[in-house]
Amino acid sequence: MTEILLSVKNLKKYFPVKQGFLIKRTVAEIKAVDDVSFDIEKGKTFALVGESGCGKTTVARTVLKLTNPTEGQIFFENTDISKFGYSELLPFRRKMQIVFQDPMSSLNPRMTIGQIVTEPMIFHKVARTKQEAYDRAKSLMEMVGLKAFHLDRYPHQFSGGQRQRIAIARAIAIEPEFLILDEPTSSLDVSVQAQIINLFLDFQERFRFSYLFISHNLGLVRFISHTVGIMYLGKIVELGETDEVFEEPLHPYSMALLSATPIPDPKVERSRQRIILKGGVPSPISRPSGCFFNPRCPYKMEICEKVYPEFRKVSENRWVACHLVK
Amino acid sequence: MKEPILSVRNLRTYFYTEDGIVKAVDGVDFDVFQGETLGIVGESGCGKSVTSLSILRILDEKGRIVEGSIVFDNVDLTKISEESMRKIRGKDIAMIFQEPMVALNPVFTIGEQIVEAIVLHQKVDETTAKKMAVDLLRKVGIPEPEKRVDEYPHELSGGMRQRAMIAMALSCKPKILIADEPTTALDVTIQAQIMELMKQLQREYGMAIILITHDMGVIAENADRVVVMYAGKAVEYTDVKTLFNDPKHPYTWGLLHAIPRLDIEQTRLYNIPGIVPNPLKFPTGCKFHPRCEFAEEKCKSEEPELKEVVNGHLVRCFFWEKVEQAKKKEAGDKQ
Ligand SMILES: Nc1ncnc2c1ncn2[C@@H]1O[C@H](COP(=O)(O)OP(=O)(O)OP(=O)(O)O)[C@@H](O)[C@H]1O
Ligand SMILES: Nc1ncnc2c1ncn2[C@@H]1O[C@H](COP(=O)(O)OP(=O)(O)OP(=O)(O)O)[C@@H](O)[C@H]1O
Ligand SMILES: [Mg+2]
Ligand SMILES: [Mg+2]
Repeated sequence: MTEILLSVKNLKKYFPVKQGFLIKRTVAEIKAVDDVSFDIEKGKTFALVGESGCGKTTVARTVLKLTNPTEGQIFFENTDISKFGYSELLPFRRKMQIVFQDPMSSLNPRMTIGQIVTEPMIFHKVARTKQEAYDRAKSLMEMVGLKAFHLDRYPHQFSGGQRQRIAIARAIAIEPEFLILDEPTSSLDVSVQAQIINLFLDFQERFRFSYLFISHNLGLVRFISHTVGIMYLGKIVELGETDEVFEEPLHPYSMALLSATPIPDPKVERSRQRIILKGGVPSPISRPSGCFFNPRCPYKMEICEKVYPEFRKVSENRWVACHLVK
Repeated sequence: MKEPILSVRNLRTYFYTEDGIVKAVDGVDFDVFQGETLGIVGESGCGKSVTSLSILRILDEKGRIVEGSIVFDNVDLTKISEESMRKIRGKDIAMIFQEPMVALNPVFTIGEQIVEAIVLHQKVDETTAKKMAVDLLRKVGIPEPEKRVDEYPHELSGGMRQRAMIAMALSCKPKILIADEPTTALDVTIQAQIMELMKQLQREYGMAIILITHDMGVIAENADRVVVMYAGKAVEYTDVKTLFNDPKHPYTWGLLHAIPRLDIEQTRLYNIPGIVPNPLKFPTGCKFHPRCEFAEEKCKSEEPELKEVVNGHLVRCFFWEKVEQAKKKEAGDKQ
């Protein structure tokens, strides 16, 4: 039996684009997230990948209700939290956490690491006393490869990768059932990355944690995720089991994206064929008509300029939005 | 013989904290040549960023360069006045920071910030500078830069912020660009585009790049030479092909094993056993010995030097020949 922890239905998040010197007028809209739907099973990892600016972080922030959705539903354990206010959300907050892409901006520079890591434990009453929280913080530091004495220092005294691990320690401190990891290991070298990723896997095995994993590192995405959604300009264009999508991508954008990843071996790397996409990166402010990918698509047909393809189920575990795919 | 544009010798940078002395950088040597890319790799916390902050002399008040020299254009940057240093920063040597929000000011639009950088170092008026800013944003792959230029950092995606900062660093055509994890928040397509842009500037006017990254794929593709750092020290220094085909330091060898790959199926990621040593209490002898499968008694008490073991290949290890044997064995096992 599969158990769905999070179900996102037709999620939209639009931002106004304002211009003008004194009187700011809304001149356009950025459809950062535009009709996105996906499910995350309990104990499983769903990955979101796609070009910079395609809306991944906005999906994450909206799902956690750090910003309100423009439209759509967010079911967490079968409860629609999309319209909940602060107090209704509180019991859910304890179950979901996020590790942000840019750790420096999410760590309060005036707090010590000890305060940063213990605060959520005390707020959510996971630890009964300050001492208990502090003891847990010590073991959390070890888990992420840092030391207990680091708790007395301030964020600016750490390296980029160390700060990222502090953000991870804070997020896992309250043992959330659902954890959003937005480029959680982007500043980590491969060896520490392996340690952290293995830690996430341990939590998943032991406590059935579910993850929404956002990363540009496709090697890592393949390794850690069970299902994957490929995003392009605010929409998911392909969704399926990770292994299947990586072995046989169906959407032309997925094909290009997967072929562009460098392979860490100069011999293989410098002799390999890649699909390099033509055309400039499109803008989410004025998206092309029809399929958004059509100006860069090597298989473009007439219909692609006119109609946005329906996102439909094409096989047991695969959804694709492309006119080509039967 | 080519002359290096930047020569770092025996650099040591320490932080004098309440808990003791943090030896963040403790013996780093490398050369950077015009038009070339030097890669710096190594574990989180090994001193890569502090090395670059030392070159620009932007350490926080507790940090000090205690030994060594950093020679740029025949002057030792560790010796010159703060005022002379200010003229070099951003103009001759520019930096792309690991975390964009450190470099970007949240209360100004990205356009205002790039314009300020341009006007500071070049003789152009603001209108021209603004045009240049838009142009740069286009070059780093930001769509509709005319609109984006008036946005605040928080209105951009993580990768766009990173590119805005790259645009700012490139705005004055520096002689040396220090790029600290420049493409971590970027997808591979844009990553390739940014690296291509940097290479183009390299070809056009010989900009040199110091590329700090933990992504061995990016190193494989872009670096000419590579320094591998461990616990504040350079442990291996050679050209990129040799590093991948013939690593000689046990740490480098382990590092190359820990990479997740798209082209191979794996169930668990390899990681080098043990943890990164505490910079307040480094182990005696070779800093890597507690984690090294080849270590002997000698490694516990004596510190090896960074030595040339074959032509142009520097290694800080007494027993690098053991790695050779292990490599041969591994190659044999595969067959
Ligand atoms: N607070 C905001 N105000 C206005 N626009 C925003 C805001 N947050 C995000 N956007 C816009 O929404 C779009 C999607 O941004 P988002 O941060 O979700 O991208 P992303 O997929 O996470 O990209 P990256 O890989 O670069 O982090 C971008 O065009 C961005 O400029
Ligand atoms: N301002 C500071 N005060 C005290 N210690 C510091 C300070 N800045 C850095 N350090 C310490 O110096 C060491 C080297 O840090 P550095 O930022 O150079 O690492 P790095 O190699 O860039 O790592 P990463 O890959 O995680 O960015 C770390 O142990 C760090 O904690
Ligand atoms: Mg993002
Ligand atoms: Mg760093």
